Amino acid sequence: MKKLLTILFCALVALTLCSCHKDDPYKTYNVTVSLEYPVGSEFTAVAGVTVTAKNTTNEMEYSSVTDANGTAVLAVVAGMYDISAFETRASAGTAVSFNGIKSGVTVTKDWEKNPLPVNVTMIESEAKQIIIKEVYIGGCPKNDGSGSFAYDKYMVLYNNSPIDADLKNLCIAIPLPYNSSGTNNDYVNGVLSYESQHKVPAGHGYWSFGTNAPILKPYSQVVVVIAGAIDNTQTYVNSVDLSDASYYPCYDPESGYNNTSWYPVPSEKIPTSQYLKAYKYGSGNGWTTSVASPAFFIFITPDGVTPQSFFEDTSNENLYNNLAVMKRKWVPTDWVIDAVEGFKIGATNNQKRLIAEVDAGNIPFINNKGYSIYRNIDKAATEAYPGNTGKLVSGYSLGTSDVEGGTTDPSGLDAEASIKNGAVIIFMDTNNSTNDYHMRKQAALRK
Amino acid sequence: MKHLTLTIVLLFLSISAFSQKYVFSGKVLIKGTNDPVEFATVVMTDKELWAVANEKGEFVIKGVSKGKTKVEISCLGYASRDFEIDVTKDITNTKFYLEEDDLTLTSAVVTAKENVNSATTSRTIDRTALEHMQVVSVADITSLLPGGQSLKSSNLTDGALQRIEIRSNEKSLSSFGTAVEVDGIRLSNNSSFSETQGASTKNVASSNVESIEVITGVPSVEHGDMTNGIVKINTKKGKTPLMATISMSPNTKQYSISKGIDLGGKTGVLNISAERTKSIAQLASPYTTYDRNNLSAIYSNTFMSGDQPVKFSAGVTGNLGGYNDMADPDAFKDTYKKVKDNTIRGNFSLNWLLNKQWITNVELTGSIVYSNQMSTENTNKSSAGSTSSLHGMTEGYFVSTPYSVNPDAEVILRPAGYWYEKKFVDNKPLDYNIHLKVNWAHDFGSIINKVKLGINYTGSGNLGEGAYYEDLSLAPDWRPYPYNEVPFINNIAAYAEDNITIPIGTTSLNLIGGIRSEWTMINNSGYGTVNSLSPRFNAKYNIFRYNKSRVLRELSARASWGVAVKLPSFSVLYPAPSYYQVQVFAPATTADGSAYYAYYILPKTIEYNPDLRWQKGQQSEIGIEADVAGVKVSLSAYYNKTLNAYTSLQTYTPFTYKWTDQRNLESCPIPSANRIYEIDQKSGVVTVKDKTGAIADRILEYKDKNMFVSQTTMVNEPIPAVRKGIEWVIDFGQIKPIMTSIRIDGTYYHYRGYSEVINSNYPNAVTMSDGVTPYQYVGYYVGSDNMTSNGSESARVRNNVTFTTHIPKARLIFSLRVESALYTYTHNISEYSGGQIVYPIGKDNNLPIGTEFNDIYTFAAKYPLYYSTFSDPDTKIPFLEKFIWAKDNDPKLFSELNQLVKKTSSNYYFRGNVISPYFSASISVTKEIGKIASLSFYANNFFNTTAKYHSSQADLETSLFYSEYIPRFYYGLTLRLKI
Repeated sequence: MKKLLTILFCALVALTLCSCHKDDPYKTYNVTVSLEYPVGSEFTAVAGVTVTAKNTTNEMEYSSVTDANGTAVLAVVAGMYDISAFETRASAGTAVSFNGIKSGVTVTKDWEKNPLPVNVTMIESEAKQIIIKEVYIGGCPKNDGSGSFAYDKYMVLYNNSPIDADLKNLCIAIPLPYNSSGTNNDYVNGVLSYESQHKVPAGHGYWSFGTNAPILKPYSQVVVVIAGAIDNTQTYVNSVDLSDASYYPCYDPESGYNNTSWYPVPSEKIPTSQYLKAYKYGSGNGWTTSVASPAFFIFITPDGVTPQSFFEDTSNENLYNNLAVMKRKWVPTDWVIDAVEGFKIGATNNQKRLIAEVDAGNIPFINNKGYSIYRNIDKAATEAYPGNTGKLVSGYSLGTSDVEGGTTDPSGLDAEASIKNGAVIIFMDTNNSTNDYHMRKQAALRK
Repeated sequence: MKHLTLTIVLLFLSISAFSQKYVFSGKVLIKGTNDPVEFATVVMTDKELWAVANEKGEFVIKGVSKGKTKVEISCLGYASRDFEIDVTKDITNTKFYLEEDDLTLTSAVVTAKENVNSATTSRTIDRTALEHMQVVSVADITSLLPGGQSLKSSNLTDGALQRIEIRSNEKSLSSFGTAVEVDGIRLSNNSSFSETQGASTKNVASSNVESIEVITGVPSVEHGDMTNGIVKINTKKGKTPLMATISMSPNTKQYSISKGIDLGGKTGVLNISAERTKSIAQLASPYTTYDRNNLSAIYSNTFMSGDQPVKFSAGVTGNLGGYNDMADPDAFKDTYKKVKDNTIRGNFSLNWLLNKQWITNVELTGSIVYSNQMSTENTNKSSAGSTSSLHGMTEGYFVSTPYSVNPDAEVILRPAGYWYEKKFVDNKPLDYNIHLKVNWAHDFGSIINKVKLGINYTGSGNLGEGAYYEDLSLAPDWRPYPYNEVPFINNIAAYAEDNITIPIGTTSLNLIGGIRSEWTMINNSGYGTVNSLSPRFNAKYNIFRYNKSRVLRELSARASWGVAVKLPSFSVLYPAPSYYQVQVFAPATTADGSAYYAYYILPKTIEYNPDLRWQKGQQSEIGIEADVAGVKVSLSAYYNKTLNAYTSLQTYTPFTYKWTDQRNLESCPIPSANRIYEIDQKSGVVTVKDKTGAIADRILEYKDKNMFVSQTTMVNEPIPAVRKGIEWVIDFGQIKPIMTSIRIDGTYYHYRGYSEVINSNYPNAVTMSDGVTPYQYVGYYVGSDNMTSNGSESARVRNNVTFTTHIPKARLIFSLRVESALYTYTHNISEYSGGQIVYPIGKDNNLPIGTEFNDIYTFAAKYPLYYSTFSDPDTKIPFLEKFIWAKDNDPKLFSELNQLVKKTSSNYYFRGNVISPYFSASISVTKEIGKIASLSFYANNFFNTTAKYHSSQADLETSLFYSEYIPRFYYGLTLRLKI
């Protein structure tokens, strides 16, 4: 009997051990990441830079900091990761940002045997004058519950500098493919084909202020109405009144953007001189902005190039996926002054459309709820700004909780309330949407 | 020669005048009980003579000429008998026994039966087979044809599944060419304005069908208005007990009751049947439904007029029902769609057996079908600003006007806010038909000759009002197009056919030749009267008559050739008028959200094509039927051409309109609130007026905009589409020890069709390179103007194996059917007799990089043959030559011409696509419980296969689960009671 029990016990142990041969899903692997700084830059690797690995499937994040050689070791479980790093340094009074991202790093159970070096190229960028302060694009619920209304779209451009900004030759563009989720044929071996070519694609068309471009005073803003430059709140109480006389509507029916749902003729309060001019080369009669994963970039054509001459230049044309209906133009990255990129919440296949040189992060976004993408405040700079004492309003409560942990302005300051209170706000500008934006519960222009 | 002719005539006359006549009489009794079978029909098919048995089962056929003839005896509820007799004297007092048609019969079959006596490919599916497969829609029967596939689901809400297609695999036009008749009533879809497809069979009560004959070969000339074959549905006619049926499947429930009532004496039989069928679209949300509530009454009787009986039948069938998603709780409040499928079909038939020297019988049939297919759709709408609805039907410039100010305004200003838009489409097709046919059967010695002459008058029209809205003030762009103002199509056909059977020793040769001439009258239209001719020939040679002692027990061969004409549908003849409309002025939105847009409206008149010819089908077929040691083999090979297929042609003409920039209002001194905008209907000049009259009128500046407008015309495709194939049925008969029969049926099908119609295209959504000027070029393409290919090729090999176990003593029949698609191939093609039109292109631009593009991975582009410009529309500039030149010499032109290049959306578009073989299996079982009940169960794709198939075009593997290739897993149960 005893023998039998012994044999039985041994068998159970053997079975248990066999069962242990299964892969442990929680086993971690060390990934060594080296940050590479631009050759010739005055800046080199330093200790203490945070490196983050984000699992592209379950969005779990792992972080570590670099040593003095710019190397960080991250312990991650098997999976596919986007590995990124960000830091800001000061140089002669100007903030210089470094962004780097390496997409599609796959860690498998063989990693221990064959670890691969992960080098993240850090892109240097300086803060620019004009930034995208807010994007409201995703629509809001209709009064009767029959769905959402999304023909109310705007973008706020902000002069984040102490000197006047001329918006002449400033153009507003979107990348193509339009959405972050879904197939992106620009990816070759997990990397955007134009990643290292210092250019980004402007899809479908772009808008420019033209000859009547405003001059933006320091720390002031201009509202660009992307669609629906009328009082939308007369029908949709959750929407935004975009009929203000100071707004600049995207309205140019001669260009071919003449869908009257997208482009009702703007309110009589808005002078026609404020209408933006369209440069359309895509098909269809509306500028195809994504409502679920919006991405925008603004660029200024350099001396000798106008928005019109850039439009007429066929040498910069490209067809996404070789399709005539997917025409786009390559914009050099040194023309780009700011960008924002949203990722669709709930999608597991979000991929960057903008390269790190332009924007290295992403802001999770969900449409149809009346949310906007709003810029975070550079708290230190804002608090240090002369005259702001006592004018800054804290207790910001318009963050959202649609993603785990929620998104809000880490400064805790309420930018809009502070501005009304007479404060000057300086926004974050790190060329990284992850750091620079949060998803706001309510469009700032909504009364 | 004259003498020879005279001799032949005299010979014929002498044969006619002095031929001896006999009597054929007897009794039709029930086998086993010897009870009489009243209403049994006895037909001597070769002599076109017939009689109906009286209450004692007695029948008499007089005036029977000498010679052999086939005899068929049939009666509802009994198994038919057919045999051959040689009439050499009076045949009287003979007794014929019929067996009740149930599963105790060893002859019961649950597959389609070959009509071996037919000179063309024809099959019959009888009630036993229909009940065994539990047909909900008569379109299901196509699965019983060689190589047929079970339908994707048993769901009547899916209209696409309810049309029958014969010997074709391409959608729409092939069902349009397939004729469907119920008791001789043609289900026509000719008067549809919205589609060019065959008639839906959804509203045909499947429970009342007795048998279905499917003629896939060349039919008799008495059948017209079809190109792909004919399906003849016969409902129950005759005395029956009360029968009730309950049928259930996950998506569909069916209840039916029927009875054939003997009215007593000699007053005939009245068949009454009622059926209710309800289908739901989705199991998870059973609120979108299709209802069929069918009631049918058919009276039949035989009246004696001396020795010349008259068989009379008249029926009326009505259906109430349709599609309805009103109860769907997931839909937004008060939004719904309903489509009625109400119909009433009436018909009569009169068959008078004259049996005279020069006329045997006369048949007169008539039918009328009126349907109400009214659709109602209620949708909720909203808008932040006012919108414009264009209702104008006259040319000119118009400013939008509130409905309250002028309800007849050409452009209505719809205010901002929320509203419901209730749209009706009143579609009421009416079809009628009267058909007189004269048969003359006469033997010339041993030669059997039958002549058929007939005249057929049909008409199709529509009594509906077309599309309209409940509240015009809230309607979108709309113009009235009352269907009932469109002229009817009337068609007169006359035909003659001779059917001669010549005995040659122990063999016989059957030759059928006929011609049908049609005059189609479309009054008050550009088409007038159109004539067409349809000759048809069939030949069948019975090489070996049945002889059980031989290995090759029976053999016959046949060949057919014929032309059939499909009348056009209203959607071809009378496409709804369209209007070109462009916004020409847009003053700013006012404080209340109103925007007084102005538009230019250009009506596009219907372009009648006086050269339009009717679409024709030219069918050729050969076939053999053989019995090899008890294995029955049927083989058919066909080669069908569709000639003059209907296709639409776009043409563009230059067009200039005046465009007034809103910026011209900036300097207008009239306050916005006081402005009245007027636009001159003819000149397009905008004038701003002051409501108060205080400020003088202000005329706004404008500029001309040049572009193109299109016109659509229906034309005939010059290149015939070719369908060819082979069909086989091998019936191994029953293996007695296991009471199981095995049948193999399959088909090889090949289609190739492409278009050489030169179609033009104008991309009106793009501008010239300045970003402002409307596009100035029109491209002229071979074939479709929006696709890279101009045709397609497809092929398939399907083979089914059916195992049927029949245990008569247990009244049980079980069948297992394995369906296989062994080869499925599709290929986009580009073919043009004038040269190459598609080229491979590189990644950098749309210029050709070679000539080979087929069956390789490459992006490819179709270039227009030539293009024209706004300034010189009549000069056609060779495109590719200019395009290549512009690349290096005129970058702007190159970029602009780029818009005319039609590129493939993938680099595998022109690769052939072979789908790897796939299989599914279904079972059916029917068990009779005594004579009063029977129970059937079926499960289609009962393995619910999740296997993957490989698609070679893009080298993909995809699951068959819920794919387009395989039926869904579904099942059903039916209980039938006889009381």
